[in-house]
Amino acid sequence: MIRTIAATLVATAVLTATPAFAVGDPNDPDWPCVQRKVAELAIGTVWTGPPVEPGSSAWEEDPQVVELVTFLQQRRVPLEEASKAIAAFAEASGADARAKLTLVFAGLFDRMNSERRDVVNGIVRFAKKQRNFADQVRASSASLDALRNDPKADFSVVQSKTDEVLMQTRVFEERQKAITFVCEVPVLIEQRLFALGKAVTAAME
Amino acid sequence: MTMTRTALLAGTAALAALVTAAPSLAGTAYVTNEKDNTFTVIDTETLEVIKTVPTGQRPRGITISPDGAHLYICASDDDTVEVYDTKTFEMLHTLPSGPDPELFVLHPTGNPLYIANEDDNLVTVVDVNDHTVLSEVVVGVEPEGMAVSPDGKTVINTSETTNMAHFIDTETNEIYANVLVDARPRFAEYKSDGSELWVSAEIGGTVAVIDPATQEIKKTISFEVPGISPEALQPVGVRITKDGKFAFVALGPSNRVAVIDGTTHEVLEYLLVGQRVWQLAFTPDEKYLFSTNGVSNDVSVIDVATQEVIKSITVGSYPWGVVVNPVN
Repeated sequence: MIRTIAATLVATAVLTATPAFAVGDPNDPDWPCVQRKVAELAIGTVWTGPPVEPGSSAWEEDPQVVELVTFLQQRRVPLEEASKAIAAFAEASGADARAKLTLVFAGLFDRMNSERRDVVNGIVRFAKKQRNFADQVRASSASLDALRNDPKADFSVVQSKTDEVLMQTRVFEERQKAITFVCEVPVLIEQRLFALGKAVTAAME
Repeated sequence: MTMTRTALLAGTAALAALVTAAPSLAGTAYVTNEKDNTFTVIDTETLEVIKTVPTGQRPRGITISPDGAHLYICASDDDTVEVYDTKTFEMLHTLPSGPDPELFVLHPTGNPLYIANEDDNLVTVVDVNDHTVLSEVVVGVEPEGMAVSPDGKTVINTSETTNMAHFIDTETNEIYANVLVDARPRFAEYKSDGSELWVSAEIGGTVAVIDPATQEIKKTISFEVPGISPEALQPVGVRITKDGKFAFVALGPSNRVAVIDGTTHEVLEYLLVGQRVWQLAFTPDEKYLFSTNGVSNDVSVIDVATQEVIKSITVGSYPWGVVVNPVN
């Protein structure tokens, strides 16, 4: 009985807390993050070097540029190490350094903006699923309530339904916690792209 | 009489020498870190971090007494203003601030302190010596930006939802004029000669230049940067050089600071600083301008003469406000 009440209470508390959806963007009810939803990065917010044509794939034609972009893009590579690699690349490029470094940034912007877009879309999908899941838990909780109020209900059925609601609630809560961490990822990518842009600009000077 | 006059002249000369000499001394800048609950102390000569000091919850607005001895910090989530000794970095006491203080301004004499209380639609006037509330002025919805006229006779408050700049008489603590500006006015700043009041509107994306004598808008400055959507150009912090020749406007998530001709009001340049640039502060000699960058967690140093970003100083999480010690 206590377990049954606890299950209902937990489910109610968790589901009441869910309207935390859309806190960061009043225009998108599926956006669950506190951070403002920025679907795409604008190149002007991270770059003041030579003009880069957004969407151009010219950088992909230079294998050395592609290799460096792939290396720099990885979040596990510390920024200090990334800056050293950019400086070494500039040194090795000689007179072409400025043009090649511009291609490097074009590649970084292309790849990291695309990675970020995937993460943002993933967050929206995740939030939609979570919203549907919340409806499921709410329905299970309501049917548990009905069972508890039914004097003819089989005790073992009530028990199994209680376990089901508790399990669903726990899964829901864990996923909800994960959203907080996932929401940080677009910001981390943006921070890294900005820092890499600064390092590329510094290597040009 | 002659002696008195000689002494007075000597005193004035000594004072002038002191004032002139002050900017060449090593200075200190203080930056509130909203997420870390700390403030960072920066040496304005070496441009290095000297110290990080813990504060109350969610430190945002920051200002300093004219003698450079006391630092005032809005601990927004603690509903209080904390006062620190700038020599020992110890918290001396708190001031009654009303709920959720975000920004404030000190009267040019150093007392009182005018605090914007976002949740209560009030400006709280606090005596910094007696630690008492002198008055509460009812203003528009979500008061935010605060400025004081150089003669100390008028305090300005901007209200984010009402979209107004309220002119408050500091003798009567009553509003005597309201100016409608663009959406979400965030910050207000006077020219040092009192001839213009600049008010930034975050959502409107503009800065209104107001004639304080007539309370009329004489120019609305807008911003445009290739490769950046207009919604990202959100003006927040504003600073104007003492000679009124240049103004700098922090443009939030566009990561840019606009440099504006103070006379023609034309935008001259957009400097790339750090991510989500929020507030600005000059060193007393106006050699440098510091900007707080909330997402990149750093402070950019702008060389005012060359209008170039010369350094980025890593501080705590979500740097918000910045003030430079006027004395040392």
